[in-house]
Amino acid sequence: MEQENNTQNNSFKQKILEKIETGEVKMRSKTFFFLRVSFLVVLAVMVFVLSVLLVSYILFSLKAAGHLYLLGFGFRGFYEFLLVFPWFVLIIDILLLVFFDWLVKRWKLGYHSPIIYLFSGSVVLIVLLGSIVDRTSFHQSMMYRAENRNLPMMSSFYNGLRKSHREYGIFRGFVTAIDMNTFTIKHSDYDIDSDDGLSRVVMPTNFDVRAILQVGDQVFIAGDVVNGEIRAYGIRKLNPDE
Amino acid sequence: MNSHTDISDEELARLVQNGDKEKFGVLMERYSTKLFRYGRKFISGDDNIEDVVQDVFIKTYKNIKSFDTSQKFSPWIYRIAHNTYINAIKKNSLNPMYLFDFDTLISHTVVEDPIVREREQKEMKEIVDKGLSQIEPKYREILVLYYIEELSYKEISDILHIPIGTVGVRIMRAKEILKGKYKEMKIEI
Repeated sequence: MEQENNTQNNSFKQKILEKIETGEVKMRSKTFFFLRVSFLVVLAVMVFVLSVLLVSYILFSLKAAGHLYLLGFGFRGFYEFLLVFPWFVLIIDILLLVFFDWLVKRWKLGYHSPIIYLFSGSVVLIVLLGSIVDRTSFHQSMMYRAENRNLPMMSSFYNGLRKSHREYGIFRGFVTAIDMNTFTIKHSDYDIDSDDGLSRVVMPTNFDVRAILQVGDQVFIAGDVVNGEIRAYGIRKLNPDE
Repeated sequence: MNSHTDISDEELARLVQNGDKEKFGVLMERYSTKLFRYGRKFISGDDNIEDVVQDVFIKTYKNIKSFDTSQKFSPWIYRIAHNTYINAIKKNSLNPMYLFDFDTLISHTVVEDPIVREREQKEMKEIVDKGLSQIEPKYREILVLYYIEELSYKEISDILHIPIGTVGVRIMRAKEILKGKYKEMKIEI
């Protein structure tokens, strides 16, 4: 029985060695593996950098567009915030993160960690680095270039960030006149289109606009357009560079 | 071949990498019995086991230059075998496998206890040897690797690319499932 097994094993071994000897089966070169690993590393780094950029873009866009102010305007503001949040970018970022973790799982560091830890670790790292990028002038300079029509690619990401969005009831402009609980703004959209006009903003009765605003101030307004007037439920004075 | 007994697998792999094709034969001698046994238990019911194991050795030879000789050779070749066997099972089965394993999601604190292992080894080896076809491949495989091939948690983790804690949990579940199946079939264990 043992002899039979040995003979079988020998013929099995010989079959494979013959394939190797005749060149039917060839060893792959070290360069092949080096290139494959390099490709995977470069891909993982690119996916990671892209994820960081997308997170920083989300943070920047929320601030630049003034959407974060909506969170201070009560339930209605929160609801509108959910409507204007860049969900699509966030979903793309989550998919990139899943892809990144899948790539990392090929290496010991990746597969030795439980998926939840790996994913949460990547999220924390990406949000941390994204908020650092957000503090740099990277996105701001991109936005200025897009507004000056000097950004051939990616301009759609930045164009119109600081624009009034009637469909969501969000307006930005400079105060041109104040009268008790109403004031007039000139839309400042940083572009040239039909909505660069004057709008009258009506605040709730007994609201003294002069207490918080002056002519020339830049404001962010959340409200509904009724008979050509903006009925505001929230306003926020913006810094000159916002 | 006796002259090779004092050469480690890693050293043999290094010699093969440097072009000594004959030494690959020695590696095959060392691993063919193990890989046939692992394959037979894991790919239960596959008649072409010889072709599948041959495929494992061919892939091993093709990719041997990617093996880091400072690491252990055994988990590396078992990893190739694992991937090849998974493909063979997928090819022969209509049921998808390994879609997702919830045990890999979170951390499990499981310590490999050599005393418990020694105590269980003989009993479990017999149970596992009696036949595993009734349980899912992922449980079948881990029992084979642990009780038949006698690999450590760390080695199994490197073969299956799962956290070490998950290895412990999966072995525990596999034992329970297997014992349950034997009970259902009224087989004395």
